[in-house]
Amino acid sequence: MSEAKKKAAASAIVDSVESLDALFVTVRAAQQQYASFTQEQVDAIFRAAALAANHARIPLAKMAVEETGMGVVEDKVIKNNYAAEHIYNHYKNTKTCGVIEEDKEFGIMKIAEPIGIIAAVIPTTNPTSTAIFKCLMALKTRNGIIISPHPRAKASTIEAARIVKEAAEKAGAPAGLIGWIDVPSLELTNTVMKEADIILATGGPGMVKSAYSSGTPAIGVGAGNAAAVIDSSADIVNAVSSIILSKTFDNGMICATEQTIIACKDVYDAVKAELIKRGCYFLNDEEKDKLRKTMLINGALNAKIVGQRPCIIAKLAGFEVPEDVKVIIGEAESTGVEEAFAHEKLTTILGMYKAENFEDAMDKAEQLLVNAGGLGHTSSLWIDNVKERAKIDAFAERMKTCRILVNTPSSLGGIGDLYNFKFPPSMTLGCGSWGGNSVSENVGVKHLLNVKTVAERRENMLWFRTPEKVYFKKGCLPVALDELKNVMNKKRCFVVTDSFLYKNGFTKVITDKLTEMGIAYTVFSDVEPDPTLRSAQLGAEAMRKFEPDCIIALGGGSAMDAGKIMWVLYEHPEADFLDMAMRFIDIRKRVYTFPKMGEKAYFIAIPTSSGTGSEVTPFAVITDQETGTKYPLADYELLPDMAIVDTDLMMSAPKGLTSASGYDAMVHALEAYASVMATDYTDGLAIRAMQLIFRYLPTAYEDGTNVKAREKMATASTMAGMAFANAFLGVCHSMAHKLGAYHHLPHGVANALLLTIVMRFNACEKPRKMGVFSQYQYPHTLERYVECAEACGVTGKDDQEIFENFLQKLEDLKAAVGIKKTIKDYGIDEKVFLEKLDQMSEDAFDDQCTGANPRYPLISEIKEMYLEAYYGEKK
Amino acid sequence: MSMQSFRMPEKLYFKQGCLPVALQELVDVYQVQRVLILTDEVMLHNGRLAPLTGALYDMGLDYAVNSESFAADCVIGFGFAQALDRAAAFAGDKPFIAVPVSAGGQMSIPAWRKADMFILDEDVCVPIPAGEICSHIAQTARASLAGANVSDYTLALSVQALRILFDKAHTTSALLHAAAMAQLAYTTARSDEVPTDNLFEDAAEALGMSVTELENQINSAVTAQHT
Amino acid sequence: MEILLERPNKVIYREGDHAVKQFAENYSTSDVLNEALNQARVQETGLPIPKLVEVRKNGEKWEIVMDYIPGKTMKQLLEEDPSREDEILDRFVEIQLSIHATPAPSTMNKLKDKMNRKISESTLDATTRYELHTRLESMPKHKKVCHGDLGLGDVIITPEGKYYIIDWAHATQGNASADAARTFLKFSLTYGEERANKYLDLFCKKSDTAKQYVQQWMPIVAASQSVKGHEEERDLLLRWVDVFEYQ
Repeated sequence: MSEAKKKAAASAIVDSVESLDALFVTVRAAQQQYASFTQEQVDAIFRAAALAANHARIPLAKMAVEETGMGVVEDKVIKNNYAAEHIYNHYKNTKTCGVIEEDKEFGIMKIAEPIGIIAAVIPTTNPTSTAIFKCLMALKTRNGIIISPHPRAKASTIEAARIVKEAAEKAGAPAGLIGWIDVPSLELTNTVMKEADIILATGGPGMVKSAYSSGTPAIGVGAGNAAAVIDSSADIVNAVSSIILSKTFDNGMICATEQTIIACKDVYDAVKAELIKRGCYFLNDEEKDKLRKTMLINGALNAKIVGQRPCIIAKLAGFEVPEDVKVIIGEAESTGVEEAFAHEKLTTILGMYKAENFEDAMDKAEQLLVNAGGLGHTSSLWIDNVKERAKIDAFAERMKTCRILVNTPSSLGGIGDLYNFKFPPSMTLGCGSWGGNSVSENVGVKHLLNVKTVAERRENMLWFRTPEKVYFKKGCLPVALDELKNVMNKKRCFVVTDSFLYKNGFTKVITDKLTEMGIAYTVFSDVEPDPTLRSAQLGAEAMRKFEPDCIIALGGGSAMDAGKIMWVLYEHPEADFLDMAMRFIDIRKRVYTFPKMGEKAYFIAIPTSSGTGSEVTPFAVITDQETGTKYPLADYELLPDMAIVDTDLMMSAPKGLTSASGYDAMVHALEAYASVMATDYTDGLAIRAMQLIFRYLPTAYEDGTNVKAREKMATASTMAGMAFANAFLGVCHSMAHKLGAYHHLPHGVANALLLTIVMRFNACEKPRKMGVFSQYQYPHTLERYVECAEACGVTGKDDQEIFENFLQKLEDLKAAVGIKKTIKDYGIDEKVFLEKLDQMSEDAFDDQCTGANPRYPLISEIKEMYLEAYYGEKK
Repeated sequence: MSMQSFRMPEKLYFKQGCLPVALQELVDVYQVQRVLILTDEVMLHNGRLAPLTGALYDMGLDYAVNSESFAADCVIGFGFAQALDRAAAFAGDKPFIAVPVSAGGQMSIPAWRKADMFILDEDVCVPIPAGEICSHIAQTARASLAGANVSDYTLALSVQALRILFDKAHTTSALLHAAAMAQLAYTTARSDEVPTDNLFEDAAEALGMSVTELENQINSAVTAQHT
Repeated sequence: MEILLERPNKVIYREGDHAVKQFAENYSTSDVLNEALNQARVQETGLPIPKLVEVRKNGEKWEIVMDYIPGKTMKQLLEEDPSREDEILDRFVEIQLSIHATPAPSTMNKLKDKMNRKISESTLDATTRYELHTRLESMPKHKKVCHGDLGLGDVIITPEGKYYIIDWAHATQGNASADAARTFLKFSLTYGEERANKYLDLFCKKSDTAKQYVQQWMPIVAASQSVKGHEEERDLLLRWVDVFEYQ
């Protein structure tokens, strides 16, 4: 814009769309400059402006009353003072520029920026105070502002804005930051609303509706119809004088002011007497009718009575009251829309109702809001706030208003900071959705800022957890059990195992030792291979009868899992099973908090195979026998307190079990290593486990009597268990779970058939989808597998070759322990397999283990892997 | 020998910045109100206590520092080995949380043996020259390969520690964990009895090098402190 | 010439089967043609109105020729037999509702535009006009046929009992509540408060409209009426217009 034009624009009267557009250019330029001011500069300007406005409070108040013909000069002086002083005071230390919040530990930072230009619509009832309020808010938040005054109050509104503008510019604000429309018209108001960046609309419902429909983000207000409920326990003298003070303030023109009194029957007469004593006038029936006709015209408020004193109002209605009467009161019965005294009056008139009791008073207050308007604004209650807390709570729950004031004059209380110091001071009071607004509180600086949050990548806290005590070695079982008596002083032990183990005398070592130590015991041996909820419940029932202080679970994965579930049901019969089994993404951020375990019994897990690793994991899988659904439970509360790994128990494991469970341990180790949640601790254990399995599994398979091989396998299984207890597993296990469920293959075998296929899938350098976990930064599973390979003695000329050689080594291991090559080889019918394939793939995807897989699989990809595992080659 | 054991603090939490997150358990799990912090004299003056006391304050817990007469329902050992030793001894039956500030320095065996929760947060650790940490890891790992209670468990941890140590691309963070693992292994492996087993050969094999090579690498790490 | 109706600037006389509306010499040509156009548009909706026959010039005077409808207006019927008030009002409201139920041809003038124009033309002060424009702006835009000036005198009942609606000069498409407000105002000016309220209650009940919706239009239709400048109406209209929006 040329200098001449700029000058013209600066002094031009804004009375047309062209001149308004020119004003926008000026304000925008100023605001863009202002947006880079520091907090210090802004606060200095904010202060200077507030001081200047406060300084001019009297002349502005006089001007407002003279121009509008409404209100009381002295009260408007107070309003101006409030808008300048209280607002300044409340916000003077608030951060509104640049970094307003920072947490280095959690890596988060908040930065505040201005919105741009505020279009501020100013009402007739509080012209200068609202103008001052909105201008100060704009200055504090580095926004520009253009004021759209109401024609009835334009001169005083503009004068208030001018004073703030001049003071701000003198203190260093860019020229032209604050502007206004000189000759208001609907067209100009609509234009300013459309072109601004945010609207603060204080006006009638038509105005507010236009603001919300303009397409610009808007904050509007609603009509008020506050009822002052006076309970039997209220301090009547305090209540009455406060209500009168509130109602006469500026002749009742603050929207939050009381419009009616609802007094309980037993104090009604006392309230009435006090009101009369303090200068109120109760109308007789004839006067009431005359006033009704005058107050409302076709259901709308007669403009002539707004902000007037009672003597003037009476004259308009055709009767007389003495000049010193403060408030006219009309007693009414109906709370319906037809009753004029039920409406908002914006003047020195109150309606008054008699309520049967407190409940009835609340009903009436509610009806008034619904029938005669005012929902969302303010309600008021006079009550003994020490003895009647229950009533206050009931009132607060009932009233659909955004301000509920107790023992407070509602006009001065609603604007905040005068009668309650945690209530932010404001001249713009939101009424929430009940009042058709987007804001349900007193409007403040936070509504005029855009806040940016900078979040740095932070990795989740990780952990390493195992049972506190792990005892191992051939023959250690009885020695380990010593502690039960010597250290822990246990008296009653519940032993859980499966019927095979029981019948074959595996529990004898334990029960003999318990007898020797004088500890009472009972054995529960009804555990099935896939432990069911029903048998767990039976076991828990038996536990409840026996009341053990120690539980020993002896067996393979099923017995130990069943034992864990029984332990939960025993300690927490009230816990909801389905909640416990809910799927989670991050075990630490679960919806469900697992109940604390160990309050009744100490849990010892003793594996008899090498193995599931269940003796050191926080997992347990239970089947609902009715539906066949498997529920995986996972929580560190399920970690056994002690694990005893005695090689003696493994010596007689048959070949099939040895190879399947041994290979299962290998898969545990590999999946834990590849998992997105792998840590150095789990890596160390996993690698050692892999080394041991390669070295000793074939021997344990061929010659089950070889003690060293059995011992090393037991160790490997437990270590692999520790690894995956903390790093979790992956999609190989997900798929193995479902393969086992659908086609009844042993768990270890199912895993073996899928392992190398899954490893190839995971090793892809350009996976379609990467696993989601903050500490997993980029796909590098190939690298990881190579680390395992090298630790297991595999060589090659590059990563790809080493990897292939590793896969071959794993295949060789399968062959060495009698595991077949494909699913088909196990006699699973092709037709049946293909029929169930889609559902099985979907179920595998949904398994809890899938989440830790480094490559996030699509259901179609899972299906492909199943097919390859079935046929032995890619189809 | 008919029985060996592997023992661990119930919870080992780690990650940069995890201190306040782990401490949340004081409220959520242990439900304590009054915390006694036992720390080294020097911590009282170097401002390093601030993240700990700040976190406790934010959670609304009462705490006292080094005041043994304070009626606490939980003890936190924060600092070097000496402070952790003292805290471990003082804790008794109360929940005991160990927060070392120099995982790469001297370790506190009592703390490893007694702590209910071990917190490794490099943000609260004092900076130590990498050479010193490496030397310490090497020494601890070597020592943990021989002991009355060495086993594949302790071997796994010591070897992993050495693996990280020998990897040229190791980060400070990784070294921290290597040190912790070495200490964990050492704590379990060693006992007052005369060492009866030595897994040094197994370690060399696990790392894919000869025994001599392993000796050399460990020695050079130990002496690197003096460069 | 059989004169049917005489007004300051219009005369309606009978011409055989036709009724002729003759406008004064200085009457605006566009207004005349607008009225004829309106009538043609409404005729196309199928509502029972006198059919347009011709628009012609008679010397210096414009004339609109339409079918002659024999019978009496509802106003006349009421005057003849005041005891039939309830029955007549009832039928009147039914007829008004049937007009509202008719979807307007899209070419019809819009009620909102017309009201905005009228407010601007009125002699009310700037503040009041600002308020009225704002109020009008926020009213919902509907598309129902609105007569715009419907009173008892605008409905003719033939000897056979059929009805015809006349005088479509002010027709627009818009809000039915606005139309009801207009009629309410007319009743208030012509018959007084009691009968006006009776009409309004009937309208609200039969159309299931809340009274507040109709009341919201009252300041606006009052402003529009004030443009006509009838002195005797001034007081009532000014009172209706001077209402305050809660803020």
